[in-house]
Parts: sequence; structure tokens; C-alpha cells
Amino acid sequence: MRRIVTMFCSITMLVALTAMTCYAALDRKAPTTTASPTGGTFSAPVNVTLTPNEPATTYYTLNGTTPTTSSAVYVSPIYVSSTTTLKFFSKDVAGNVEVVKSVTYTISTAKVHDPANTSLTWTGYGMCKDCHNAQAAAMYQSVHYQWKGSAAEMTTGPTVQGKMDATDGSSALNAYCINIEGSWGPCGACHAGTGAKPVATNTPDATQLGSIDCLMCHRSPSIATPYTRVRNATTTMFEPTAGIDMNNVVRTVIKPVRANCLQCHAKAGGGDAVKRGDIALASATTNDANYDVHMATGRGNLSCQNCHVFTNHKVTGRGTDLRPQDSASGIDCSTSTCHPTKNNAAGHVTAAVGDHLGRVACQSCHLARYAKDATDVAPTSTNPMEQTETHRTWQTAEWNSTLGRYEPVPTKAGNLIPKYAFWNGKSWGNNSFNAAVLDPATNAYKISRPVGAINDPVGTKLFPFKYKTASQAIANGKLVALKTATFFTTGIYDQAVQDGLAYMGMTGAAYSTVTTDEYQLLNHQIPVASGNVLACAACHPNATATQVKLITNMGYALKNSQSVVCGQCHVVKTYSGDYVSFHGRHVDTRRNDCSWCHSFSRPEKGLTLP
Amino acid sequence: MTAISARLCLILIVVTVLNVIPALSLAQPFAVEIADVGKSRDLAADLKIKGYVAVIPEKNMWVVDQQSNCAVWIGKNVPLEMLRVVLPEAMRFNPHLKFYYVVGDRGEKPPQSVDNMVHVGGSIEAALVKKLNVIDQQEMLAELGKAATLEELHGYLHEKNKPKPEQKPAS
Repeated sequence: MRRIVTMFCSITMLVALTAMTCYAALDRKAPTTTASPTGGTFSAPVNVTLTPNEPATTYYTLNGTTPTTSSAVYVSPIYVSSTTTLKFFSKDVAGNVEVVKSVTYTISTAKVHDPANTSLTWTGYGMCKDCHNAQAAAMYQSVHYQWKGSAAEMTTGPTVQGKMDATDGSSALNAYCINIEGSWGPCGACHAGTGAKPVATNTPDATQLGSIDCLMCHRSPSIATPYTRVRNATTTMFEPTAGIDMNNVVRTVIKPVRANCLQCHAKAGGGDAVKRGDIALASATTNDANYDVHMATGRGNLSCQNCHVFTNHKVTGRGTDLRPQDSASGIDCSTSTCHPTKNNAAGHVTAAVGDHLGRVACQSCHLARYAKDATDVAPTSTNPMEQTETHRTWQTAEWNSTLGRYEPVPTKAGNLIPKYAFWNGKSWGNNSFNAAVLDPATNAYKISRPVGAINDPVGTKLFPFKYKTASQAIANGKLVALKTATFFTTGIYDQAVQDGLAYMGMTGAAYSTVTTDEYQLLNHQIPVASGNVLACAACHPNATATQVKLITNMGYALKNSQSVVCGQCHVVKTYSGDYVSFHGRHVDTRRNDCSWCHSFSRPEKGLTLP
Repeated sequence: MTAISARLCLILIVVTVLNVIPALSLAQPFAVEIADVGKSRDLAADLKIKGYVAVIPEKNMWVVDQQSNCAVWIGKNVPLEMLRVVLPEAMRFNPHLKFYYVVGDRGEKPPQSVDNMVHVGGSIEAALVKKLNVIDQQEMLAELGKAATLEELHGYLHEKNKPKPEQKPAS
């Protein structure tokens, strides 16, 4: 019997060895990877899938360089929204390497007008509406044009709010220039109109529709002399800068590209990267994927509207500090075209991430720092590292020689750790003429806040925010819409406040100076995940957390003393320090609902009370 | 011998002083600041040859092009003779210049360095916010030649820049 068993084992081993030898001998063949669709010209963006014919890792580039094993690894369909050369190869488990393949996708959607259409001749800003009347009418009603709109997501103020000056409580305050308050001229330089203040009407006439400057968003920045505009010194209205071939401009209009959007959005607040903190002019051109993997030219290279989808000229997405919304639709990272599996419990490599998805927004873990430096963008002395403004004082003035005026002194900083807060999609805002509200948590008067709490229903998540403060005047319990024009002229804070008080009907009122603050949602500057995404230790355990202290600051503390909480079931035990195992014993093993130990519940997890 | 030495020393002192005086006159605190648009470097070089301090600060978001940067901010202490040299040269290098304003004319109190400086290439946005009026280059050149004193030139610019009555723009 023993001999039979020995013989059987020997034969089995021999067969196995032979098979292995044969396999190794056979697998000297490089994998073959197929791109679908295979290149060509497309009238819309395409999702490209790369499929090797055997188990293999596929590497690729989108910027024309030859990929290596250090290049991006293919994990999900690649979204190609502009003309791109995709280069790729695969390496199988036996180490066989495929020859690099190259496929070019020409996306022709951008060009609306054929340059060969020589009959199209520039006749003025009103010409666009002659063919695109419906689009002009839609644009006219948009937040981009009206600078105000539905405040359905605001918990404060009237139903329509925005940037435009008003005395009815609809005019937003901020911690930058405080309020538009009569400063239409310079603010209007970023308005998509020809210079006139927008008139709110449901039935705009031809002149009003003709006041839309479609080229602000639809100009091509890549032609020889791109469209720029200058104010007419007499009428103060905008007109094309002299020397531009406007016929060529209107023949080459495009769907907006990043550079067009960023001309205004990156300069908000008075300079590059000043206001938002997560976008800068560098976002248009950088190829630094660790600065912004979505926009980096060699990586996502996404245009703004790939995420901020436009429907009838109304845009999805709203910063938490913005009062109006153009669209009730939101932006979701887990769409079928982008990250379809990442909202699934098992969608991340680290299993524990799945436990966080219900209450932690993607960017909370994927944006460790903001106001970062785009390493491939030349520095300037005024903003060497795409820094953002963190504080503005109006009590000290500095001279701007170009504008021949004083400006408030900003404090700028870069590479900042976000603040975190729960957000349920609604916002709180203090508008001009509203009573000021002191936040005891920050000891500052609130300008805007995301609304949400740790014990809110499902859908409320922890988000990252820029935190911004300012020194502003307060009188009779209201923040003063300081007269910026006076400040710019004189540099005298008191005089600007006095004029602001007169504007608000409080002439001569006593005032003091207080700190105001606001939270601004961060969504951009997401880096490559590998090596940049927050590790568990960034937040856990509380004692050594470097990113955010959840127990100390975010409401995750025990609902009572440890002896009381633990005493509900057993005697107090010494916390071993192994957070995962300690927490896992109570939640994953015993299925105890959070409210047994904390002051919040997580009904979506299906936990129960002991 | 002593008398000769003393005379020699005196001559040396006089010569030295005479050499220093022109240098002192060139080291005046007045300067020209030029926005980095168009032929700003040529203008700066030209003014330096003429003995003036000319600097081109780094661009900011308001420095766009010659058409948008078409204002001249004139420091209130800048001498008439200097303006008679700088402004025609500035116009030659930027034919779009059309706003001329004495900083402080509306009560502003800028830093002292601004009082001693001509800024060529101020933003049209600021000019329009101030409601300045366009001044034809030929008219400006004529006034530069005609004005007998700096105060007279300032008075001319004050009158020219008086805001016109509000005109409602087309909606």
C-alpha cells in the first residue's frame, strides 16, 4: 500500500513539474492589449477601455510620452474629452512586456463653427443670438449672467439670493471684499456681459440678449490672436481689443475649456488663487498630477464641464459659500464614466474604506492639502506657489500701483490642511443687512457655513473646507458693508466704514472691528491617489491624528465618561491602543449601534442596541 | 610751498564738489514706474538714457495690454520738467494712453513714494471707477508745453477729470 501511495505521489509531482516547466516554456509571449474604441475622430468624448488578452498590468500615458512601468496603471475606462494620443503596454505575470502601442483620438466636438465658413462675419456681440436665440435666452436667466438665482439650498435669507447689491437681505457677504455694494464696475469685469448690469426679467428684449458676451466663455484661446476685450473709455462698455481678427474669433468658437473658466474663477477675490484655494490659473496648464490629477494635461485633462455638467446653460455644482444654485443636480464622483466602483463597500483596495463611504466624502481622504504648488508652473513673486488668502484686514492698507489705489492687506498661505465639517447640502449665510451671528466655536462672526451635523440623516458627510477670516466692522449688531471705493481711494478704514454705515442707513453709528469667518468647500486639486491619499493614521487614533482629531473636534467623543459608557455592559477596561480591534469588537463583532457609546447613530449600518 | 599746497587742496575740493553736484541732481527721488505691457522695456531704456529712474514692476492680474493699461498716475510732487520728458515718451511707446490723473486730486493720501512717481500703464478699470475723462494725447502734449507751473498743469488735469453727469448705459 505504502509503495502504491509513494508511486502515486511521485507521478503527481512529476506531472506537476512537467506542467510547470511546460507553462514557463510556453509563457514567453508578450500580452496583447486592445484599446476600445480604436482611435479615430469622434464627435463626443469617449471612454477608452484597455483589455489585455491575459492577466497583466497595463501602463499608459496621455501626453504623448512613452509609458514605462512608472506610468499610470490602467484600472478603469479612460475619459478622453479632447484630442489625445494614448500610449500603452501591458506586462504579464511572467514578466513579458508588450511593445508600446499608440492610438490617437481626435475629438471634434469643440469646434462649433467651421473655420472654412468664411461667410461668418463679426458684426458685434448681438450677432450670436440671431442664430442661437434659445441659448441666449437660457444664458440670460442663468446664475452666470444674473449673478443671483434660486436659494433653495440656503437655510437663511429670501428665496432668491446672489452677489448683486440689494437692501432686501439677498445680497451675499463674504470675507473678501465683503459685499459688491455699488462696485459693479470692477466686479463686472468678470461678468459674461458687455458691461451693463444684468436686468432681472423673464422676457429679455433683443438688446438685453445682445448684451451677453458669449465669447467670454466660448472663445478659442489657441488661435493666433485670441479674443480679449477692453472697456470703451467713453461708454465704459466692453469691446474687442484692437487688432484682433474677430471674424476668425467667431469662426473658431468652442465649448469652454479650462482656461476660459479660470480667467474669472481662478482670479476671484482679487488675484490668482486668492478666493477658492483649490483652483488657480495653473489649473489650466499644469501637467503636475499631484497638483490635480483630474485637470493635469497628461492625466485626466478634464474640462470643467465634464463634472460641472451644463444643461440649457445652467451649471451643476455649488460651493457651500455661494448663495444661488443654477441646477438642483449635484456632482457625483461615482458616475459610470468616472469612478463607478468607488461608492461600493468593496470598491477600495483597503477594505476599511468601505465603512467610511456613507459618512465621509471622497475628497476628505483624497485631498490632504490645498493651495498647493503646481511644480511645473513658473513662480511669480506676487504668488510664488499658488497660495490662497487666509485672512484679510481692512485696517491696514497697501498701495496697488497699477490701480492707483489702496487695497486691504491679505495674509496668504499654501499647502494647507483643510478644516472638516459635516455638510448635508444646505448652507447658512449672512447677507448684507442681516443681524450678525457670533459662532462661539470659532469666536468669530459667521459669514457662511455648511449646514450639517454628526447625527444628521444618511447623506450628510464629512467634507474638507478652506477656512477664511477677515477683520470687518460691526455696528448695531450688523456687519458693515464697508464702502470699498472709499477705502481704495483713501486707504482710510474709518472713512470707508463711515460711508458703509451711511449706505446701510446707520450714519454716524458707533462701530467696532471684529473677526469674521467662513467655510468654503474644497473639491479640486485632488492628487494621484497612490502616495497621497490619507492613511488611516492621519485620523485614527485621536491622540496621534495629524489631519483631524475626530474625538476632540468632530463629535466622535464618548457620550459620557468612559466608566459610565463601559459600565453599561462591563467593568472599565484598559484601551489597548489598537483602535481597529477595539472598535471592531464593539461594532463589527457585537453589532452595537453607535448611539450605545456615542451621541449619534448610524441607522444605515443596520446596527442594534445591546 | 604750504600756500601752493593749500591752493591745490582748494582746487581739488572745488573740482570734487563740482563733479558731485550733477550726480546729486541725478539722484533725485523721482521715478517712473511702467506697467509690463507692449514696449515697456524700450520706454524704460529710453528714460534711463535720459537720466531718469525707470522700473518695470512684476505683472499683476490688472496688467493686461496697452489698451487696458492706458492710464498715467502722476505723483503730485513730480516736477513739470520731468513730466515734459516722460509723458511724450510714454505716449510715443503706448499710443493708447488716454487717462492722466494726479494722485491725490480727489483727496487720496497715497504713500510718499507715490507722490514722487509717475506710473505709466494704470488700469482702465481704475480710471473708469474714478470716472476720469479721456484726454486727447495732442491736447495733453499742448498743455504740457503751455503750463507755466506744475500747479497750472495740476489745475488743468483737475478740471479735465471732473466727472461728467451720469449717463445711463444701455441695458
